[in-house]
Amino acid sequence: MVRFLQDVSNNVDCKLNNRSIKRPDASYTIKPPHIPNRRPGWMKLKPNGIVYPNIVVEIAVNNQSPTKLLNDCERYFSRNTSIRVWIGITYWRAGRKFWVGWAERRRGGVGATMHTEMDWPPGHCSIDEQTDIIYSIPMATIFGPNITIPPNISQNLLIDTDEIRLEILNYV
Amino acid sequence: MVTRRQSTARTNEGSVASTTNSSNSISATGAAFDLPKFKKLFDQVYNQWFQTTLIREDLRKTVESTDISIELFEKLTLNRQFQRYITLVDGRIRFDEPPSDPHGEIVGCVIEMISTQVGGTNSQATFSMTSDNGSIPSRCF
Repeated sequence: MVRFLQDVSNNVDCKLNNRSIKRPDASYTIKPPHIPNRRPGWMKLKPNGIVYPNIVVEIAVNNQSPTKLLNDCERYFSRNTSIRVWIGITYWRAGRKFWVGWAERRRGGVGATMHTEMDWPPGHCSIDEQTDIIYSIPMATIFGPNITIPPNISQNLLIDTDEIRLEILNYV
Repeated sequence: MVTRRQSTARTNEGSVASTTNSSNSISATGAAFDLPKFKKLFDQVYNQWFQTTLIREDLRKTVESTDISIELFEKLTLNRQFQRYITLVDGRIRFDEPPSDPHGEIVGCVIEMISTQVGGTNSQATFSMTSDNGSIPSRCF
């Protein structure tokens, strides 16, 4: 079976407007065979003819400003892109704290609606304490209107923040 | 949207990004723009940043205050090992913090988490965990 989404980490550029480019840490784009012949209007193409990714992932470690992460998140949901979901993680080594959140496009079509259960830095969660937070992102949000979700894919994408926390703990 | 043993969901609206001040910029399209000189300066800044994670502030300011096109940005940055950490925001180059561990490990963890859920039942499909470098392909096999 062909994978529905492909990792396009090697095709990193996301042109956000005529003067901005951002390169996410990872992104997931719907493969052409799964795009209807009549491409949905919301789905936009990058200059190279490939559709914009549905998911972008951004990780910030250490001193990167949380404001910068948030501003970049906003930019991903510009009117020129068709990015559906942003997943962001920030880890502050000195404070042994981390933050995980996700965002979707606003109903109006531009900008981000952020979802998080964690306080924003500097009040974010300690990596030494269990969070018990699992974000559940509807696949319908990820795939977008008029794209058929394969039956073997669950209804929600689960982002287990404790799994991320434990991964960080493995290396610090 | 979130499961938690004891709490209610909270949703925050993100704020609109601020833009850079263009009043004192040098335009890459302007008559005074010297491309070879700028490229040399960019290379100097990139190499300094790549090797030490620090950039001399005056050099950073010069590069980051120069207004350039997307085409020039790609020409300057593509196929650089740290290209993923260089962003163009409203025509201005921005050097982000270079990756340090466990950046790659977190990326790998999240990729695995997502991939196993959006990849259907194909048990042979796996992801390369290296996704910390824009010039190295990371694909499903």
